[in-house]
Amino acid sequence: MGNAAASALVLIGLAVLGVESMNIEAGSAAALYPRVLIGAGFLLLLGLALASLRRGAGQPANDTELSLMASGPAPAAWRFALFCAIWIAYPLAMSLLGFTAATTLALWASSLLASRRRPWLTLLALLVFTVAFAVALKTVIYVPVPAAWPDQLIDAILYRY
Amino acid sequence: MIDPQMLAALPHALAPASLLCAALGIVVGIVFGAIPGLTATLAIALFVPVTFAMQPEHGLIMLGGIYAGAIFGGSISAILINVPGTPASIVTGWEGYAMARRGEAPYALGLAAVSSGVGGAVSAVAMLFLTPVLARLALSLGPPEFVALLAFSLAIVIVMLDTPLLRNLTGCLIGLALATIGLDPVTGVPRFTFGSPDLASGLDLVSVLIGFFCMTQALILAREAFAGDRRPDIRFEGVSGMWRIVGTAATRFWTYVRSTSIGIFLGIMPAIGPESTPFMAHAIEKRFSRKPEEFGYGSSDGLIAAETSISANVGGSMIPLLSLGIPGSGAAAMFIGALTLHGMQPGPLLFVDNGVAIYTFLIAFVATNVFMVLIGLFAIRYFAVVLRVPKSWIATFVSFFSVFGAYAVNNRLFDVGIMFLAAALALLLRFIRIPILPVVLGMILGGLLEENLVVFDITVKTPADLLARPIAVGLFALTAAVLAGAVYRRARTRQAAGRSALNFE
Repeated sequence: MGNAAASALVLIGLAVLGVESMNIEAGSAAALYPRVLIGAGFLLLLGLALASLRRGAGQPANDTELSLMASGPAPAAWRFALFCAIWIAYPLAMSLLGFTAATTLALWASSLLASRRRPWLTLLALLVFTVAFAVALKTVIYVPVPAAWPDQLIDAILYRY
Repeated sequence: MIDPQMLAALPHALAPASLLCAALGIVVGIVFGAIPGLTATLAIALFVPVTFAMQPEHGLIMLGGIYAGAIFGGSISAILINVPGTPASIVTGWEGYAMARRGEAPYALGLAAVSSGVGGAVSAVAMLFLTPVLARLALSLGPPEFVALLAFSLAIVIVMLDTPLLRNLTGCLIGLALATIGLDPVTGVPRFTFGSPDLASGLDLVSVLIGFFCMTQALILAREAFAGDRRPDIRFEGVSGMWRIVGTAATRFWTYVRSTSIGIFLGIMPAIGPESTPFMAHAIEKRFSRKPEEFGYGSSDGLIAAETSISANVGGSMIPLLSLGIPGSGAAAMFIGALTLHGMQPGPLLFVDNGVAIYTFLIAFVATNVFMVLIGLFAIRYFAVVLRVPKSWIATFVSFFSVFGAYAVNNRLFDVGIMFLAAALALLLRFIRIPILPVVLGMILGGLLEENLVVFDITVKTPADLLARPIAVGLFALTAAVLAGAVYRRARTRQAAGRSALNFE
């Protein structure tokens, strides 16, 4: 991705906010402040993007970490894409499978991308970690997480015995 | 003159049970602080009910330990893997991670522990003696002074970063614009909510910061790991440099004085929590430093300034809480719950009705910070475990804790989506070389700035109204001078660079 494309994406985001600011109650003082900020931000960013384009369109940022993210060997790029997909899918899976199952699967899938040595042992270790964490959530931290049958089973064991 | 109740509280504060509560609180706080997304506020909120069964002073001491420990804990992951455990540790990660990459992780962790302890201990002494005086001063500041102070804070960050001023300003405007999402603070009119009730209260700051700093770092670590770079590229060479840590700390007297003063002062200001304090302290220290070029690249002065100011802010935020019942930060607000739970009413009568208990807490807070230095220095060798973990595992668990942290703040998956969007925005901004720090400060201070601007607009109608507020005028003048100075200095640097290029030609 070049500078121009990245700038365009941020500019589109600001433009969307700018258009949305027109929907703020007409004549309200609440609209003026964000419109000024968004307008000034948009114009400044547009000026910076045009200046960058004039100097050399599409040059990647001089940031080694980001350059690596945007390039690199193909298998690594695929694994990275899968890594992103796993963690984006994880919260969605949590509402379907519950916290314990979704977390164990997400951690396992993510770990398999880096190394496939002893996968079943890894799965077991991650299951132990997740169950311990789930117990801590229920007994110490009190964070209610989406629950399915494995979580209900933990609840039953915790509160029945 | 020393209050007799203070002397009566001294043996209670130094009793083994009090010290045990402090140590326990510190350990719990460090664990919470080191996990991205679990903030000091969350830790205190979770442990307030636990203190119910304890003596009031012991409960408060434990919560004070959690607060101090969480603030230091946030720096551990920031230094070792560049993932700030709490939003306050962003600047610490900036300097500390660069030091760690040079093989100075123990040194950076030790300096962070000592600086955290010094800032906290001095602020605790300030709490003991300056509470009534400083609280009265803070009360005299109105919206004009707040607008001036916030404008000054933003200007300082804009001029102090090495990136071009216009890019810093753009970042700041983006942050301020993002802070307007949600209901208007004055009229209650919905803005940029796109019909979603989840956006009515605005973007959750913790989720956004997790996206900006934790999730992006997890992605960077993952990409490096998949490209074959397996372990963190920092070395951990034992803790032989203890004297170096003590030596450095001992020779930075004025850095500690400046950072502690900034931390305490900003802590007293309502709603300016420890998140924005290190930016200000770091920027001001850069101005005074003999090696300003090292700031941002592993400067020990920068690390000391950031870490000291954060801990000093912790004590500072308790001053208006104890004397007036006004919390200076979110975590301090949790103490209101703890005090109320133990039948104490924060405010001017607190020292009259519960003097010994409160003085016990305050004196023990000094001891808590001394304890934290010792625990921090002792535990450095165990933090090294992180460095033996492959990057792919760190990326995996940072991703998990980022998602969980974003979810746990309000127990809703919506904030996880916000966290992912924030991570995407941070990566895009890095790609077009817009620094993220002005965006963050704009987001943190945006709501407060808008609220005060509205009142400023109503109360200050003519220049004479403004001239009647000398503190505000002074701060505005200082802001203008800082901006003008930065523009002038950069123009001269550019001119000089142009001349030297011509000479080479």
